[in-house]
Amino acid sequence: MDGTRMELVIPLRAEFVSIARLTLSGVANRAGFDFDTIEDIKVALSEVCNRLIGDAAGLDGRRPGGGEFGAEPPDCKIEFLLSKRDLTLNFRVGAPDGPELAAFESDMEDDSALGLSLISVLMDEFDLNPEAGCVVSMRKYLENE
Amino acid sequence: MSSGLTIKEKEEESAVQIEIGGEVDIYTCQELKDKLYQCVDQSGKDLVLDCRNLNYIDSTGLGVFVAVLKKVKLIDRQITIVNLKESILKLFLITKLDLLFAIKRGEVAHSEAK
Repeated sequence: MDGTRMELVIPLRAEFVSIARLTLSGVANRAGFDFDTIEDIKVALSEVCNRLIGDAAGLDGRRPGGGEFGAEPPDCKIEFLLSKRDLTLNFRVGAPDGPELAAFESDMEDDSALGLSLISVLMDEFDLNPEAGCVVSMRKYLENE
Repeated sequence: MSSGLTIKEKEEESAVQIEIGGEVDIYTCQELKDKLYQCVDQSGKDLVLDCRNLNYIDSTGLGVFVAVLKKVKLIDRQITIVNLKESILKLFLITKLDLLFAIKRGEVAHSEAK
């Protein structure tokens, strides 16, 4: 299982978040996480998607600096990296032919703050803007390692 | 696309029992909010949210619970949450929402929930 990489691309729309959760369930189960931990990671994944959907909608088809997403929401690419020690999720967002969404802002309020606090507790590592093109990265360790 | 959310309502003498099942997320939370608001407006009674069949909730769903609690408090009523699964109860504890809601632990039958 070491070094296995998978990728899911979904439209950044509310109705597709459940598909991302289903995919995650399969991947995390394969990695050897128990049921409760898989439920925790599912919540963390959804919280990131919720925020990114909010960001994309809030931009009203435009990103700061002028690039346009157009009528369709951008895609969200979720990368699953499996190792013997952990599962890492990387999120990238971009219009099919356009620029990537600027950032996963850290100055969250209200429900977003609730979501951020959940991610912080449920995941072992959580990075905002960890590298160019990647808006969020988070990691969960396998307990037996 | 199927919403994955089920809501069953049963009005009793002093409270409205609402059984929430499936998943409450960014896609289904508005449907839940509309239904709960409607129950509050129409009945004016306490709400008992039976979550025995609720498999998943995130911050969007928790936000709906808080919004409905605010609405219920305006008419001096209350919300009781029963039969939460452990994985979901954990989210209430992390966010400290267990301090806002009356949560009954363990298996609670409909007639005991008020």
